[in-house]
Order: sequence, then C-alpha cells, then structure tokens
Amino acid sequence: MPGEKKGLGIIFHSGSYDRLQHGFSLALAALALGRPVRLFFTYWAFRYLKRGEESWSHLDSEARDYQPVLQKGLEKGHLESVPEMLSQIKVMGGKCYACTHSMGLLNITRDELAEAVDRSMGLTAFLTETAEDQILFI
Amino acid sequence: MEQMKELEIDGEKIKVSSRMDAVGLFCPIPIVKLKTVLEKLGPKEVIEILADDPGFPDDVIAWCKETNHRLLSLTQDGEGTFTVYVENP
Repeated sequence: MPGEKKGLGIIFHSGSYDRLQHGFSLALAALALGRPVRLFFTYWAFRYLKRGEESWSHLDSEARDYQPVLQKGLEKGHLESVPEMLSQIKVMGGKCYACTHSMGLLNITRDELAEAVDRSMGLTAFLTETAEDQILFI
Repeated sequence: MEQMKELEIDGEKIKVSSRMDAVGLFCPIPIVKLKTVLEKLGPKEVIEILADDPGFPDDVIAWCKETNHRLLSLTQDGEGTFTVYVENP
C-alpha cells in the first residue's frame, strides 16, 4: 500500500518461552512505530497457539538455567507474559498466521487454535504477503 | 477532578494531559504504553512519562521522529529515572 511503513514479518519456529518473549517484543516495538506486523507460527511455537496451554515449562536447554530470573522478571512486572503480549499485539493490529504444514505434521486442527489466530496459510502465501517486509526467523 | 500539571519548557507553558509511570518496565513496553496513551489524547496534548529502562532515551527519540511526535523534554534524575514530555501532532 502506498505510504504504508515497511512491515515486519516474524516466523516463529522455536517453542522456547524466552524466544517467543523476544519475538513478541520485536513485534510490539514495530507496531508501536506504526509498522504492520505479521507473525507466522510453525513447529514448536504452536504450543502458544493452543487454547488453554500452559507454557512456562517450555524453555530450551540454554534458557532453562535462567528460569528463576525470567520468573522474577515476570513477578516484578519488568516483563509481560507471552499470552499478554500476544493479546497486545492483536489489539495493535498485528496479524497471526498458523502454518498449514506444521498443523498437518503435529496433527493440530483449526478449533484447537487460540482466538488470536487470524487464519492458516502456507509459506508461499506468507512470503508473498511479506515480500516488501523485513523478515525474521526465531 | 485532578488538576492538570503545568510547567514551563524552554519558555513555553505546557499543560500535561496525562501522566504515566513506566519505571521498572523493560523495553519495548514503555514505548508501547506511550503510544497507547497518546492515541487516546487529542491533538497537541502532552504526556509526561517516567521510565528507567536505559534504552528509553534513544527509543523515545527514535519513536517521536518516526511517528511525528514532538519531544518537548528529556531529563534524568540522580536515581537514573528519565522524565520525558511528548506532544501529540
């Protein structure tokens, strides 16, 4: 769209809480700057899109030692939780897409997905939609 | 009704419409909150925001430039807390 700021597209692959936290921070910063944001959830990141899922236990080995630090940051209000950040991303107009390949692989159906998901799509559609954007892989 | 805080910045009289304490909040939340509150204010209204995230000064300067907001003042106290005044376009 003419005059629209450069978008940010983020492909989430990792299911580690700290990586989602960081990716959502990037999304929020971009949204605060008025940039359109499109998030593409794949593989292990899917656990954050499943209704009613508790995600604290999912930290990769490199992050696990820091769980107390992250927990404390959350309790003290320094950080916002991943579900809160996703909510905020949606309020600010960010789009959330679920990867159809991963859904097939992990046997996830549309009704298992959280409200936050706008639609599911494949890579070709995602890459086309984000052709002018800055893309990150997390 | 809460009295609007008034102050002078560079000889200009400023009325603060909203005050926000973002002390203790890490990047990017202070900027997200700044945007969210300013969206609810009218043209030329001013927000006072407090933050202590070390990246906040650069972030707020960049954000104001990118989104056409006027950064009226940025100061830091002895404890490392920044006080910033931002005006809506």
